[in-house]
Amino acid sequence: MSEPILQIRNLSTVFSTRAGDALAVDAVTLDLNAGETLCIVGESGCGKSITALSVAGLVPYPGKVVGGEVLLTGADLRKMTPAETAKVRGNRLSMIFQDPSSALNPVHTVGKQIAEVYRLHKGMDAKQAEAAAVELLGAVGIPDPQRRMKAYPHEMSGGMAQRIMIAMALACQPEVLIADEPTTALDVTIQAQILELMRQLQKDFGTAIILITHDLGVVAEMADHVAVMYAGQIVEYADVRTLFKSPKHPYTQALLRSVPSMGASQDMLEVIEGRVPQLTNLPEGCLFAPRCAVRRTADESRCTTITPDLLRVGPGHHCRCWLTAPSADESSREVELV
Amino acid sequence: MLGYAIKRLLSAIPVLFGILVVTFSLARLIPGDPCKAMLGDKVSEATCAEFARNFGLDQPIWVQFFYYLRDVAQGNFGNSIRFSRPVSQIIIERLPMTIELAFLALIVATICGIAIGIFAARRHNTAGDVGTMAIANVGIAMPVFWLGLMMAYVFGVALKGTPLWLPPSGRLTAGLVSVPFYDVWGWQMAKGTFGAQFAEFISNFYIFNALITFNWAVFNDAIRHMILPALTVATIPMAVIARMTRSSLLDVLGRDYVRTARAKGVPDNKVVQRHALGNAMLPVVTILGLQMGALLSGAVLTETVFGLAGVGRMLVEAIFARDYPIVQGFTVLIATIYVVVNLIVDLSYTYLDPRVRPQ
Amino acid sequence: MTSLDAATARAAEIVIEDGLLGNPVPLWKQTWKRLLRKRSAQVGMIFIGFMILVAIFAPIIAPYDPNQVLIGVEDIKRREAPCVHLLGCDVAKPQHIMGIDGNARDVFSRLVYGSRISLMIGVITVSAALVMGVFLGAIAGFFGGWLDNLIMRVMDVILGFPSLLLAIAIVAVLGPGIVNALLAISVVSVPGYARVTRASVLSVKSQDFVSASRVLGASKWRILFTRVLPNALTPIVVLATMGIAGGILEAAGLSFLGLGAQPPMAEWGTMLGSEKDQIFSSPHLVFFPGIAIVITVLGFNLLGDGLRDALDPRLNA
Repeated sequence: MSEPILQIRNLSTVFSTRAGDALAVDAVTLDLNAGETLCIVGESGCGKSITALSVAGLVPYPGKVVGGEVLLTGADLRKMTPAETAKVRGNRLSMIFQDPSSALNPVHTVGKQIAEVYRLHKGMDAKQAEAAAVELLGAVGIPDPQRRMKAYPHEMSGGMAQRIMIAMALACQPEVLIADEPTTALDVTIQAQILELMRQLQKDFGTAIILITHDLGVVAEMADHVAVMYAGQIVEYADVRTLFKSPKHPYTQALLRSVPSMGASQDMLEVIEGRVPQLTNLPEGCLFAPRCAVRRTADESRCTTITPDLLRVGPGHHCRCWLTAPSADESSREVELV
Repeated sequence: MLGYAIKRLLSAIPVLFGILVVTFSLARLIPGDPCKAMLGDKVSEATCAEFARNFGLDQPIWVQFFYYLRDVAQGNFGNSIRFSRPVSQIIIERLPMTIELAFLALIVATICGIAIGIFAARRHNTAGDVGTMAIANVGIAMPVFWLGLMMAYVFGVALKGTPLWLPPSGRLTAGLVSVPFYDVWGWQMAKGTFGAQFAEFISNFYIFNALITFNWAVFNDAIRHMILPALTVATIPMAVIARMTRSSLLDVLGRDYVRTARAKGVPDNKVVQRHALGNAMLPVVTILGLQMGALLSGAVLTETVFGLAGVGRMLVEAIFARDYPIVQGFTVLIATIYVVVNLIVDLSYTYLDPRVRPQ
Repeated sequence: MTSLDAATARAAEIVIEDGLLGNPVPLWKQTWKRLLRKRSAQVGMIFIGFMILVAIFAPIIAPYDPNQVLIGVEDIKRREAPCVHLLGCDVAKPQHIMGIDGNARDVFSRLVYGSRISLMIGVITVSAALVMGVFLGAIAGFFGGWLDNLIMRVMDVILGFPSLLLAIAIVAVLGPGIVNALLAISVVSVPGYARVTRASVLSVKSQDFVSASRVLGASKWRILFTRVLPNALTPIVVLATMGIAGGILEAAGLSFLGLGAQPPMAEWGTMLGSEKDQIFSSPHLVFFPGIAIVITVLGFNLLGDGLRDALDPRLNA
């Protein structure tokens, strides 16, 4: 396999609140290959969105990236000056967000907002940028793009606005697109259209996508690789087939069981008991231990005392759990994801 | 756009009507004989009878109100008791000064207030932010007349002999005269016509009059005389605008679309300029209209402090002299200006915010 | 505090929710705790507390009777500058830390007693405006229809005037004097309370528990006073706190113009107004009353700011 286009190494982000420091992203390490889609899944508040923002360097106050590297084709984004990162963002690495209606500036026309990307990164003048923006609007499936250029965001539906966001993000044909729950705020039928659009543009431009979602259906449809996050940590990482077929981490297993499956008759959907732990007051040992059903039947003292590492459990398959960990002698204590 | 403007204009009519009702009632509520109240105590029986006939005092109250409306519509506010001259003539003489003062103060308050607000917001939670906002809080708590007096003392007395000295009272230094532009240009106008009155009104804006007649000595002097009063009147609105700009900008900087702008690769300083400021100004514009009230009230109090012959000082003097036609006329005038300015602010809002622009 | 974006809100939510679920404290107690944490509220309460203490212990603090003319009693001149022994003023001279006013009275004593008047002005104007405004706003919001329309249009007209100007006009009719000034200030501040109350009532009215009371057969008035008003209190409390500051400022303004408190009353605005022509020769007569007004007004403004933040949990991330 060729060198990954984006390498995230030990990325950590802390939120300083009155209740104490919350480690929202805990030493996340991930690779993204060119043209591939990596999904990050987890419950609300597990740190997946903050991870996405940390990669792009857009963590809001009072959060702060405190350590790690974000290597885009080998260059560390975190070591760049603000001016340098500004040149990368929207150009080589772009981002789209959950709520398209609030993500567009209400006082500028959508045309102006798209054209701005061309003017910033391609050095086009107003006329060229406008022409390029019209063409792009057509490419993302907006009817009558010439007229739509002059529309304001509040005059558009959610699906329409998300198409605009995608157009803006892909204007410069970036190497990496980070999509933070791009379909969550949309109607189900629109969701499918937006995902289809992303897939098609990915094919056209060869863009690698990090897709943040809590919807396992979206994962099954889009992902090449999947990272499962819990309380700021990656608890399992595998290619999509392996993850759905043989999930190792009790949390992943529980997540998969909580989704209704077509055809199979189920009496009751499983619910994961309890809630995501408070980030300022994390439990000892494995962060999932208090909610872990498997642990209750197993006899493993380390679960509540020592935090497990993300260990290799199969080819390209990693899991953070004492109960699935290979025994000490065969363990290479492999943390890196290669 | 036009539809909204018309709708907004129409909505101001009940308020203007209400203002007229209130000012009309003021004159009727004055204890004692309205004739004596309006024309003074020494008035003769015959004059009083004519007064009653003119104002329809023998008629039902709604007819009287109708007469009042007719007079106001014609710009007829009656005659001042003290000066035995039409109130409208006194307005022509006094109003330009007050507008000049309020306008200069508005410019200072808006520009400085917004600049200070941006300064504080961009240094959120630093000493610069906390310090500026503490000063702004004190600014809001200061009585405007006290501030004026202290400024007059500091700049007019304590700094005497230094280049920072500023004249603490009056509109022009004794000896300087503001010659109306129509006299400079040799215009001949029939007295009492609307054109002549309008020209006189314009010429009473000393700074503007000096500007169009290229009289730099008067121009400089008039500006120097306005600095202290304008700063005084501007201080409180400036502090309010600064606070509003700061909190609004902080709010906007946390919005999704600002994050989108950053994600697009817009450099930090341009993010504020292009994507945050426009949105952040919307609540500030609303506040601006309301601050016109503070400006006008401030002008009333400040004119008294700096010995400026504007409508505010005249109004206060008229109250003590029981010169009710002036009180009534000036109240209508100032309230109308206030309503009209707020109307303009509201209409400018539609220009700034596409969301309230009708399709 | 800025509005947090979705991501932070989510992170903050976890912290807040757990805090709420972990230890259920009564709402007012929580608000109080939040209030005490606000820097602005702390400073505001210190200033207000200071002024209240001065007002209560005025006879002990003030070295002289505020209205006593000292000519012939002591060796002083009219409008004499402050004499503080600690700062090197001749010990043989009587001490007047803020000087002597135009009627040969001790400025400091007048200032101390003035705190009683100013605090009273603030409380009285707000109480009066509050009662009128809340009543009008509540019936407008609760009953709606033509009554609502009528009341709110009248409020619009009052707001159509710059507030000080309307107060001046009212005093012009009623005649100068402290009572009329207080009345005028109360009237011009009614619309604020009416609007806020009406808005709160409208939002509370549609909530389920009010409909529930209705279904149970409670009368309109009963619902209004037992259910709706207590829930509308939050914004009113904030407005009233700020209103005290506004009332004190406007009363001082009217008194300064000679339309409010009349001499020899030791009111700060009157003290300032009656000596304004002496600003160039005796600035101390203007300086100190102004400082007193600033401290009091600032105190209530800051407390109001703090209250607004503390009562609006959404802003407390």
